[in-house]
Amino acid sequence: MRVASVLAFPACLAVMALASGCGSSTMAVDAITPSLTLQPDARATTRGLKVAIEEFTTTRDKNKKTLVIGEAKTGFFNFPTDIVASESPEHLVASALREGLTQTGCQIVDLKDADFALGGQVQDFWVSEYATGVSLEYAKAYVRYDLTIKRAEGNTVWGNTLERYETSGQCWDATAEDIPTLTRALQHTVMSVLQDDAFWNALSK
Amino acid sequence: MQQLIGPVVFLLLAGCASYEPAKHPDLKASSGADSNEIVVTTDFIEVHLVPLFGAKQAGAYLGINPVRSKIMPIILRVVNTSDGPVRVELQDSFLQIGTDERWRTLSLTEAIDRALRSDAHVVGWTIAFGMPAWLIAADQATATNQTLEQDYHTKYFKPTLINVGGTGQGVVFFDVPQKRETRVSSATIRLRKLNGDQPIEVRLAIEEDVLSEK
Repeated sequence: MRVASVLAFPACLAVMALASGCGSSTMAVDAITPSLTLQPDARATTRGLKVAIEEFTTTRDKNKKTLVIGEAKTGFFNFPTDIVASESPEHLVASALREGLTQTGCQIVDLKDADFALGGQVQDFWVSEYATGVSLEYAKAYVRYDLTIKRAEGNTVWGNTLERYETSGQCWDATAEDIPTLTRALQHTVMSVLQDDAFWNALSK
Repeated sequence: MQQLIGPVVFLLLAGCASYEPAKHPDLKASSGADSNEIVVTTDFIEVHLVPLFGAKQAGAYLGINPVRSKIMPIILRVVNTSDGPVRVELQDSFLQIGTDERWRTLSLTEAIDRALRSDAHVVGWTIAFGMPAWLIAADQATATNQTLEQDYHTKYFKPTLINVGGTGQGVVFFDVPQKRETRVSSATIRLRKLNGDQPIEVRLAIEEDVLSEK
């Protein structure tokens, strides 16, 4: 009787773990495409502004693998699970900017044909969860990158750091909120710069 | 009366887990004669610094004791008076301790981790009041964590790049390698013009601030 009661607790834990899955070591994400809704901007359309987007560099922690963009807590025991994107954060940031600039009416062209070149450096692109297993959870994402505008001859005329810290609401399992929260953070940075007069003033010089 | 003692004590303890964000201090307003603001002006940049080394100041503004949490915070303001964008290279900036010791900057994630780790309320409650207190305290801890993280993100010195005529302001956290009382002699902030190659170091001498647990 005593042995049975001693074994009951670990047995219950094992059953719960099996029922909920122990969590896998990686979680693949197909696409991170922020929903951008920008109107054509006269400052781009009237001049037929030609912009090139250079490859972004990164200063992200060298220990983080290139395509790993976060850590989910999965399964009954909240196992740490790498969130792996299909493209690098540098590529995701450049793609979001390209989409936003296209919506405003800029022509995206090769560097040799451009009036200006946009480029920069990704410093943070990460989502994780506050998850203790005994309390409400939330997802938290941080996107931060430098964006520069260079003239065709290579002189930097404008530079700014774009960043957004975003959290989800509190819930019992935040994993489903990880990618939407990260996507919202990226979306906010792109929308904010494309609605910034200083950015457009630099492109008009 | 005795029946009320337990809940009252618990509620008093539960109140301790809260984190109330303090308002961002205005460096301009604090630049009077009594202010401990340090300013260095060069031909292309203005750097303002306010040390938050005292337990009282850091506690009021960031909810931490610098020695116990091993974080040394300063408020930094950089005004770009040059003719091109400037990069602030915090990863190469440092505090000088004595003549040969340098303390590096902490990333925001590191600073938040240390600030949260230095708070042991939840563990204490579990020991004192068992599982019910643990569950309630854990939910309170979720809210506290979220508030603290958002507040630190708001206050952190974020701009790596500062445009012509632009200003960047926020808290920079430095690593305290060992828990001990010590004196900081200066802070060095490294900057670089985007259209130039050479980094520029701005050194701000700190006259009186001593890091102590008091």
